[in-house]
Amino acid sequence: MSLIELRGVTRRYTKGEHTVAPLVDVDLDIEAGEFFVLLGPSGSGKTTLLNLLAGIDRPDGGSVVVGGTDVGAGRSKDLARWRAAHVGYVFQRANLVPVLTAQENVEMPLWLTDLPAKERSRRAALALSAVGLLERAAHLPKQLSGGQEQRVAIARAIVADPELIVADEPTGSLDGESAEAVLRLLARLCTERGKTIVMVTHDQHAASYGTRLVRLEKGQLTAVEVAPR
Amino acid sequence: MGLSFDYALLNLGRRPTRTVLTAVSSALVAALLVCTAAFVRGLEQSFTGAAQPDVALLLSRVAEGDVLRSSVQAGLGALVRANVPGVAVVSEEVHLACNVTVPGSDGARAAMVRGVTPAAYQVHDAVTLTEGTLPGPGEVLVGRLLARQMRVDPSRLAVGETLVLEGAKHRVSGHFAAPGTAIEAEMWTPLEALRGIARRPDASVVFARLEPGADARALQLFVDRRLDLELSLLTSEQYYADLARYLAPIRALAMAMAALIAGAAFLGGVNTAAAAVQDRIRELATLRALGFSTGALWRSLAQEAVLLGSFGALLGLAAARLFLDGGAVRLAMGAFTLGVDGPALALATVATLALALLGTLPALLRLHRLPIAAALAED
Repeated sequence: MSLIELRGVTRRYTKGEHTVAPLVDVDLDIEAGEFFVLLGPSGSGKTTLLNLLAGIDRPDGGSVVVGGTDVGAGRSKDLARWRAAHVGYVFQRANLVPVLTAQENVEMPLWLTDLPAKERSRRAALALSAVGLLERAAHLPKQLSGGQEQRVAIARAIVADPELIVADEPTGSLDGESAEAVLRLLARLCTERGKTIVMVTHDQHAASYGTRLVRLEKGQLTAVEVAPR
Repeated sequence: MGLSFDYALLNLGRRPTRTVLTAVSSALVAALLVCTAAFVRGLEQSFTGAAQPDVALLLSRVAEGDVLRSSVQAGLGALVRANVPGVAVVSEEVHLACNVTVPGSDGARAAMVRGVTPAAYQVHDAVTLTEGTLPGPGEVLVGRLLARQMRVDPSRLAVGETLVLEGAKHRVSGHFAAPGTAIEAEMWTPLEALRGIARRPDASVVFARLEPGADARALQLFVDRRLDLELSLLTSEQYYADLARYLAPIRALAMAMAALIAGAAFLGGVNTAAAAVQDRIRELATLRALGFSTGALWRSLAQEAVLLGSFGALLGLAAARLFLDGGAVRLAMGAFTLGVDGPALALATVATLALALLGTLPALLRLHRLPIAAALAED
């Protein structure tokens, strides 16, 4: 059984008098441990699909099942709890809390657990260490570079050890070197820790890190051949 | 589990100007609420404080409860004492609104003057001599709030100073206090002396203190039998309750003002919480995406509001205590003190914190309806 199963998923938005349907009757399976890359032009619905997988949006039709949980149904409180335990989200911008240090930002998802403070701190330090930023633990986001902020965001996404990491154009606002570091990190999480990565990008180079590439256009998915990197 | 308290605390430092302005407005609200509570309580206490359950008043029937309009025959006190069982002490008094001139001040001022016998000090328990001696002929005993009520410098009414009462010079023999009662804004002088000055052979009222265990039925019987005296009987509590009723519109006005302040504070709180949500819309959406519930985010906002409200309330209450406590409010023929006491402070604290908390409720609705996906895309 796949980790992620989408069946007949449709999502529509109403903007004024117009209805836009970025996803129409979409079927998709993603296996555990894949580095799945979703390509497509701006406005094609990539982020919409990612949000559906992460349970922060709901489909108008069809079902989204992740790890056996139908994330298109259920109360928002239950979905929030599910997200906290099973999904790590890396946004296009790091979206760190500016008043908290890197260590505290990484620790945040653990505030939702019953772990004692010492253990939370230890795990946050481990996650920061995994992204190579332990020495920046006490820094505020404004004291970090864009690439470092995004690596802190990745540490935040993995700290609760979720099986799925979704990343929405994680290198979109980074320079080449920083982007490369972030992509290498995501690939390592996939190969070394067995995490399932679903990454949205419109950058061909970033896409080359994926193990499976799919293009989303006009509401439909088409497989793209993976070019050797 | 939810967001840490530190998160709420640190958020207060994000917009220092807004935080300071919100704290100052909370302080003002707390101070204004204390002021209103102290005013209303002072007003109520100035009458209820003077009421005594074992004291009754005999007035003329036509006066309809107004001591200044009342006229009873001289010697009524002795008559009551001799004929009514269960009466311990009687105080026959003349109450007059007189013109008083204080040297050094411009023109005559109206003041309440009470002509009393030594028995008055046995009937009016609240009255305490604080300085000087009881008045003899040509002397007056001045209440603690009289200077305030007459708007004169208190030093002009110091013991030994002279004032002119209805054209006759009087020396201030002493001062008295009657905490929390309207009596404090009066001056007392010997009954016979005031009768002479005012050319009034009668009395205004007779206060009768009942013996322990006695009730006013015997007095009522006396009033009912002696129709020739045309008397009416009021208990002290009834009398002061009637007086308090005259000032009910002022009290209502003060309450309305407090309600308006509370309304404005509530809207201010709503605005602050709404601004906090709007400023951090993407961050809040991120937190929701990470798994924090609407309730957790609201609790954090509420912590911020209550923290700020507490700090503001503390400032406001301290300022109120410092500047208002012991202050007096002047009315047409009286004055009363503002008591910034425990209940007034507690009321203002609870109201300020409740308003801060209530102000975050619309934000809760906003957070509940927050479209996470759309908010994450906000700039």
